[in-house]
Amino acid sequence: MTIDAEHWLELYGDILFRYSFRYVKDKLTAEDLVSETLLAGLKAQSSFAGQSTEQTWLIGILNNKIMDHFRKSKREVSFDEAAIISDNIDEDFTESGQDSGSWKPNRRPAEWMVDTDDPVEIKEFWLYLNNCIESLDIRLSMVFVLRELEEIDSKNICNALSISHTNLRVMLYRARKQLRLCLEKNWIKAMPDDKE
Amino acid sequence: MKEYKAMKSLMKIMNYVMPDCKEVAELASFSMDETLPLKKRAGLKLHIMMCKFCRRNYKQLYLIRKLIGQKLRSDDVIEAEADIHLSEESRQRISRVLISNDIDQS
Repeated sequence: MTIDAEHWLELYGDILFRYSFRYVKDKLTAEDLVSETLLAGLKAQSSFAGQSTEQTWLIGILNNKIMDHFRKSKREVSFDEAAIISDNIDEDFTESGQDSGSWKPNRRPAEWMVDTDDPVEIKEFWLYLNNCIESLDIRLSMVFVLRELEEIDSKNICNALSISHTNLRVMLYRARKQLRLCLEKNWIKAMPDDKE
Repeated sequence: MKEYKAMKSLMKIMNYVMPDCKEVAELASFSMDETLPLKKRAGLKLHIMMCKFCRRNYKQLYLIRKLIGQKLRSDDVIEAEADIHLSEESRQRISRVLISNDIDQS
């Protein structure tokens, strides 16, 4: 039995730990959650239906552990993606009149001057990116991290987080939109040659 | 006059097929995860060609992805959360937990 878990630790230890640490922010707690995940995985092995990869199946288990951890620590977080989805007012666009569906003047994306080869700018980007991810609702942050940082495809994320494809699209849309705006307000504005 | 008429009907058709900014913003995000149907793809591209703000939005979304990807595939280690991994001690600790649990059960 442990052979599987040892194998999982070898293969998926890093991604599980990295993901866990991002949310619990403490190495030992993150490590504990990884252990718990692998143990739970062993016990639930028969329920692994092969709909997702082993990796995303384990991430799904870990995700529940992280949520439990937050519930226990009574941190105020929203877990209900239905609440995120049902709120369908898009504050970036005008809702009525001739301009219905176009950008509100104060919401229009600004021009970004980014030198993708400048290591200093890239380093800055990561700092701001991580802060911006943290400012997201936790469910939005999870879908974004899995999709863009761990590069897991939509189907597997749906399986891991038990959400529908429709909800995932909406969540990714919202996450990206909020992140883009957050980066614009903080990272881009902080650039030295912004004034020109 | 002929040209003007042709232009007018062209505009009518374009308005009909062309999604508004709100839909284009959604499509931009969807396009990052799935292949859009041809009609949606065409509407997105056409709108982006003509609308500066949507073009910026679209390019910036893909830029964010590109920058993340650059980092994930680069060897130089920046102090970012993406570099966090399990230490050897952690691995051994977890391994012991797994083994002791196995003994408990048998």
